[in-house]
Amino acid sequence: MLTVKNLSKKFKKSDVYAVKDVSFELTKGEIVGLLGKNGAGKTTIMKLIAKSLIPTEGEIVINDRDILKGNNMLKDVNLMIESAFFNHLSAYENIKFYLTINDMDYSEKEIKNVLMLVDLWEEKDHNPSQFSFGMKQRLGLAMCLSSAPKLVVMDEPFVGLDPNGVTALIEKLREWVVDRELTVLISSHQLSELEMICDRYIYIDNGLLVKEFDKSLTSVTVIKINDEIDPSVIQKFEHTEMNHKEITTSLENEHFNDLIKVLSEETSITDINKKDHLKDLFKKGEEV
Amino acid sequence: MNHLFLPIFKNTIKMKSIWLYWCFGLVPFIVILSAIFNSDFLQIETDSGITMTGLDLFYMLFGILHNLLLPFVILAFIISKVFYDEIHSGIIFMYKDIKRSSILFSKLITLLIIHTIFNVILFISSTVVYYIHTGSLDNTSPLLLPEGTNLLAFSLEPIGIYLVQLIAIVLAITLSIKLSAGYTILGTLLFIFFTTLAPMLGVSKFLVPTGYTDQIDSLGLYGVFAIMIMITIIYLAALLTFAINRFKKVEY
Repeated sequence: MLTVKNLSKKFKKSDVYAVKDVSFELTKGEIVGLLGKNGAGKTTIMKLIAKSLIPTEGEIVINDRDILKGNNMLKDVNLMIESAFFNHLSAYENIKFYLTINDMDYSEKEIKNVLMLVDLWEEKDHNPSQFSFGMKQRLGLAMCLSSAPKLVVMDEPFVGLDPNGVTALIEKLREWVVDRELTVLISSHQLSELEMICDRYIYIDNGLLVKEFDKSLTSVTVIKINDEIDPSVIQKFEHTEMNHKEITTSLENEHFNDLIKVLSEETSITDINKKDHLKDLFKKGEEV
Repeated sequence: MNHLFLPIFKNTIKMKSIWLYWCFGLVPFIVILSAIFNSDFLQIETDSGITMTGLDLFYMLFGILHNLLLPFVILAFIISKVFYDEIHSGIIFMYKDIKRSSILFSKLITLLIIHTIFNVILFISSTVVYYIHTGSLDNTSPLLLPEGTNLLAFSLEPIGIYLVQLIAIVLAITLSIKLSAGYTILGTLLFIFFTTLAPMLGVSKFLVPTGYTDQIDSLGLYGVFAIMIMITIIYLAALLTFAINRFKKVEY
């Protein structure tokens, strides 16, 4: 769906690269989290995909087409990077304008549905100038979801949403991933929300792609046992390691239950603790 | 282009500043108010021996408003909102990767239509004022157009002003791609000042469309007109090429 090859960006008045030699791929129907500290280069990567920045080097291919080699290549891509709107138009008119200029098919019902999803239907006739920051974010989200995109690029989509809104957004994105094979590149500092939705993660630091890792690696449980057991017992389980009296595993559901069952038969469990590896990643920088 | 131009036009004319700009087209009615309150402001007097027509009044008010600069300050402000503000606020993300030159041309056509509507309002209101007030003064004709005069020769000066305004609009667009409202307004007004003063400054008068109106004897009426048009086209082509290149390279 999306291939980023050796992407670099150096701003005119800067000596250093904001993004350097970044390559990654997103396959159809995948939700990928773009992680990194402030200033790491996440937004720059998103803006390069949105073609609002011109890359110094590299290629961006969407559906086998190099998007940098022509116009109107982002027809199937919706962006939520900066939530800015015309203040002399209502929320409804802003979405309608966006859909019309981009020559997208839409129905009044679709606009209504998306405004209801972000809880702005009651405010549809109000101008964004009267909106709070959170409401503007939600309007940006509505715009991003207002047509039937194949790829969605979202920068901090959870900001401004209440817990119900976050759940509704996550459900909607998951529904679209299943029904429409939507692909999502999402950046957020709200790690627990990202963990609820992402299949994979890309970690950016100082403009470099430091690590790509799977969802299974972020959900790690540490089990402490009373006595050391035979390592062969543990070797039967995937993604599970033992270090003296501590077992680390990324198993979930029935596999996790099986492990607990086996351990209980061998020894007694003293503690089970879920480790937040995304948070660790932010603290340490690069180690997962 | 149509799916781009129409929404941009409909969107732009919803801006309050557009309606303020168009309100300046109603300035001719001040002539009536001025007469009612016996004020010297915009008092119309006709010289004996010269018969004034409706078109004379329109051209006179058109020239006064051009020199007054206020409507152009508002227009330059509008241009800045349409370009600079949209780029710097992030509204431009709405256009995704639509061909930048198409966006620019749709906005340019929108602005030219807005400018034309202003002139139509000015023409209609000055005609109304002429027939209900000025036409009753001494030395005025009941006719809108002058009789026995070559219309092109009669209109050469206002045509020059109109061409200057076209250039000023494109100049404002070029400036507003990179510069904020203050600089755009300043740059546009300096250009209008220059075009007003240049005809009085020797050789430099030949740099502006308004500098040839006294050359009819040597160049002929159609020669002068052709040169005015040619100079305007050169300015527009140069500015538009520069503006398109700038707009294509804009990063936000």
